[in-house]
Amino acid sequence: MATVAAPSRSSAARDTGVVAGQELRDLWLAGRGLPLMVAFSLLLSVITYLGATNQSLNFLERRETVNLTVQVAVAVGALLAMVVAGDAISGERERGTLESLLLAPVSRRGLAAGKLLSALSLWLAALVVTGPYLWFLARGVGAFTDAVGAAAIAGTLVAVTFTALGIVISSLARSNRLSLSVSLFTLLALYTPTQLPAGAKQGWAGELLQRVNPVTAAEHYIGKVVINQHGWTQDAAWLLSPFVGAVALTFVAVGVAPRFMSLRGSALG
Amino acid sequence: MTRRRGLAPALACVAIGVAAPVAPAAGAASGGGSPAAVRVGLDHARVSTRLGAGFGLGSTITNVGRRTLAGLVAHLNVVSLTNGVYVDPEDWSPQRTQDVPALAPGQSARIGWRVNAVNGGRFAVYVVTVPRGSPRIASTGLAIGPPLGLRVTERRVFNSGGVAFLTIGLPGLLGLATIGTRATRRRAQR
Repeated sequence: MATVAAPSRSSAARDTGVVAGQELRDLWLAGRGLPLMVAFSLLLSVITYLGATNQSLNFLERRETVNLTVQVAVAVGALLAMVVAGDAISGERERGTLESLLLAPVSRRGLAAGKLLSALSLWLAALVVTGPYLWFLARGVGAFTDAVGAAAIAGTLVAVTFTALGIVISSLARSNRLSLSVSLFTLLALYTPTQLPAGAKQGWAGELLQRVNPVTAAEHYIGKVVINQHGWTQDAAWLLSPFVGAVALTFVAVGVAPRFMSLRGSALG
Repeated sequence: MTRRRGLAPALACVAIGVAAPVAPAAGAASGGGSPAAVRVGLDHARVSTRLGAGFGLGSTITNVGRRTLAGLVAHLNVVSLTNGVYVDPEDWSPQRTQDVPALAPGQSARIGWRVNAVNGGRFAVYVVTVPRGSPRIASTGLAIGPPLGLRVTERRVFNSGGVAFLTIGLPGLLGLATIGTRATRRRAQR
């Protein structure tokens, strides 16, 4: 049994590596990776410029500006990764290239995992691009490490959650438009509670909803670390739903959804 | 019965109300909390500064009464005189409430304040002393100093702290990398 399982695992890892390498080249050398990063950095430039030239900001407000920048970076970084993931399978299907991919000597799991890793590279690039902006805004108040750490921990969990969700939807959707629509709707639906007034988030029901929603939970954690200067572990319980979301959806994206990967799409549409 | 029950608490309230101003409260100004017993002065009448700058302000609390005053609290407040400018006093001074030491008749105490100009516009800054004790004593024992006229000029700097280099430079670098990558790839394809 062991001799059978080992080659299977290694071949899945090799398939993932092959697919991820090809996808990364397509994304960063010929595709949308760099232009998306230019747009992303322009957005952060506007926020940073407004924050830095407003000399009326005091200590607390500076930390709030850093927090806002982290929140925007996480939201937009996760969005970019999810859009690429949402296009991963349904886009190949629509362009008529999925057939050759399915016939290629790589497992479907390897295909899904490779595309997932490639889409996640956008989040990692977004995190790297965010670094200089956070350093600039946070240097006076000593919040740089807090901001980068919170973004790396909570942001990565949110990005993995949305990217895996994008792969799942893309595997099932019959058209690229449907895949992107459902992905964006889900993302917006989960981000909407972040705009609720503070009063609506109070009470056991409000807090429960905040904790269950990976986006609001991650936002809460980031705010506590960056603004309130809490320790990394003090509010770690808030990372439970982003962590569960990331693990569960990655499992579904790599372990379950590839079974439904077909030339026509299965469940959605 | 009903009438008596209603009358007794009412009479008690009146009795307490009458007694309150003369009842000595713990830590209250022994001068009876009279506004005339305390005089508050500022060492500046007018200050002009720029947005983001801070300045020091001194206030002098003088006992002009005949008895020793103890338990006074000095409080700094900021009021906007410019329409549409919101003032959050906590942002303006890190410590807006300070205890005043006991003052013998004729004695003064100097209380220093640190003020940060966090909004642009015209403002009035003033210090008020409040005797500790019941709200009734506090309301009759307020002593308010003259307002300091404060003018804060806004200064917008294009490249504050070198922000322009970052906000133009980073997207520019990424844009150049995009163009370079595309050009290299196109050349390789030929």
